Amino acid sequence: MLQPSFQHNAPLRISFDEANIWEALGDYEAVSYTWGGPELTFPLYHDDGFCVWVTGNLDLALRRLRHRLDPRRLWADAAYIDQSNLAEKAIQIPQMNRVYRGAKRVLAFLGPGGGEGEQGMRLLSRASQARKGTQIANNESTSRQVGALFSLPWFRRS
Amino acid sequence: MLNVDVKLLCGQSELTLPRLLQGLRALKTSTHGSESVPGLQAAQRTAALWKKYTFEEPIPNEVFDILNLVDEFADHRCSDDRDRIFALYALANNVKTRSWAGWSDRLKRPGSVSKDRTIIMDINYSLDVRETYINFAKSCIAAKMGVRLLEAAITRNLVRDIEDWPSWVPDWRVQVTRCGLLYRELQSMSHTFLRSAEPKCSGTIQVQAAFLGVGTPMRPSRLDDELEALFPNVVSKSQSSTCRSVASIFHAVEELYAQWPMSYHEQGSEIDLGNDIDKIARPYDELQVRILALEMIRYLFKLGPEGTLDSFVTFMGDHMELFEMYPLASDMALPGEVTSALRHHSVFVAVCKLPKLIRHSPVPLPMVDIGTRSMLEGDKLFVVGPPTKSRITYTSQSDPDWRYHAIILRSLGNLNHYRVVGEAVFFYKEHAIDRYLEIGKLKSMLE
Repeated sequence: MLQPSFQHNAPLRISFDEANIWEALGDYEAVSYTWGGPELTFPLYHDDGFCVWVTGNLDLALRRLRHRLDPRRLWADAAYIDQSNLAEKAIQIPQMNRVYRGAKRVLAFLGPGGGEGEQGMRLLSRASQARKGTQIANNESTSRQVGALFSLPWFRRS
Repeated sequence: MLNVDVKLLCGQSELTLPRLLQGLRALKTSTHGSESVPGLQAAQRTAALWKKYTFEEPIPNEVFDILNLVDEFADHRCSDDRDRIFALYALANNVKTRSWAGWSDRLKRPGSVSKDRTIIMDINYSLDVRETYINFAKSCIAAKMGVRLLEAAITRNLVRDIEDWPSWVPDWRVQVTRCGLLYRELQSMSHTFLRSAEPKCSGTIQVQAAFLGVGTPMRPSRLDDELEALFPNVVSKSQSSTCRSVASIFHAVEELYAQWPMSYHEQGSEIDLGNDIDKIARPYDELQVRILALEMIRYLFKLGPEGTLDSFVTFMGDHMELFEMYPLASDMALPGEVTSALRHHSVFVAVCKLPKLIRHSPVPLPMVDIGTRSMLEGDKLFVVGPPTKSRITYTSQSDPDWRYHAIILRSLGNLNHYRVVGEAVFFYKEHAIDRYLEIGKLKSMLE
């Protein structure tokens, strides 16, 4: 459960939902993201005072997804699975597909945006609304932007 | 991400996956040369996989094969390469852990094998990537998927050669780099001859295989000593990378046979080719060789797009001179898929060491083969599946042709130690081989 905040920069505060994930089916959103760097240097502050350390990319993703007023029930692998606990990993990893499948929706965080990749996404969004047979302006910058979008690391992970 | 509702977020922009697909379609119809957009094909593959595993109605009893899945997801990066296998356990339905609740008591015991080809492997994160992949390979062989597995190892780049990596273990971190010769055929094979035995130490595995020919099966024990002799050895090879047309393949094959000792052609009697190749009889009947070469080309055309095989068959029907020995009056270009596959393969000739019991009889051995480029003289062909009989009769006198699928093993000095170096398809005339291809058993240490 991600606690709300008005401020983008405010520390990320979470609480763990003790509910069995299978009981919560359809009642959470799953976050799909690439790890970015391997360093777990960004803290998620738990209600009980301890910290879960996550990668920079998950930190960015959670800030992007944080509501202003309401808590948001999210599932993200590094926060949920204790990566250093091998036995737990052996149980959780094979179930990941079920976790994603059972989510209300999957939120795929591609990155902080601002570059050509984001422009590529807007372009595809416009293209998806075009009527059948409509010509979409296609030029060098179009393919560069779409290319930049698909070069984002998320498209290379499962 | 196998959820019906996937929303992509990039900065402040959002886009659902169905919209992304729709946008791609719209762009595709208006774009010429969309293949020039980097990453587009990979993204389209991802989207297709998402559609397949999310929306498509599963066919009853459909096998979501983990070996297909690891290949399909091969170009995805994984933060932990062991998850290339473990993360697919929920998606695949032919892999289970030993502790799975549905097993009978018998299958819960270590070492027992499931009858329905389910791969049994525990998830153990205390093993490293190499150990995990070795375990997975062993489990696949135990589940009678050994040939598929070996092809997966063969068609990946041999970076692992410089490491201490067993040649029979596919490195799933590496994408498939060349077209396999066996895969399409193997899918239709009901069984293959690779069976497992216990692994010996971390790097090696003892593999047992039964070898079944077209003759009456013999008791395995009887042929035990002879069996090694039943596996053809590579004698010589010719690069096929420059072959662009049907005639150029004929030319390569005929050159290969022409290089053989003259005594063959002249006397048709037994000669000695050296230590490895025992007495063999006249192997070169020009018409037979040409028919086998045609069979090989027909097999290669299957690698081409739909319709090319038909046009080749038509071509053959229209050009009866293919069966005669004077120079070809016409030629046909090979499809691009075939020439690119040939870049990694060679045309070669191999011969069998004959078993003692029939060594006195001269056996003609017309044989045309296509196999991995990296093979060397002396490499052994290890037949992995039942032979396939050609359905086409070329001439009234011709005997049926058989096609064999093999992996290529290289001896490491020690008689029972081999490395897997490639795969091959070879073509034989029936009467040449059915006398001595019987059931047997080969125990070899693959490294």
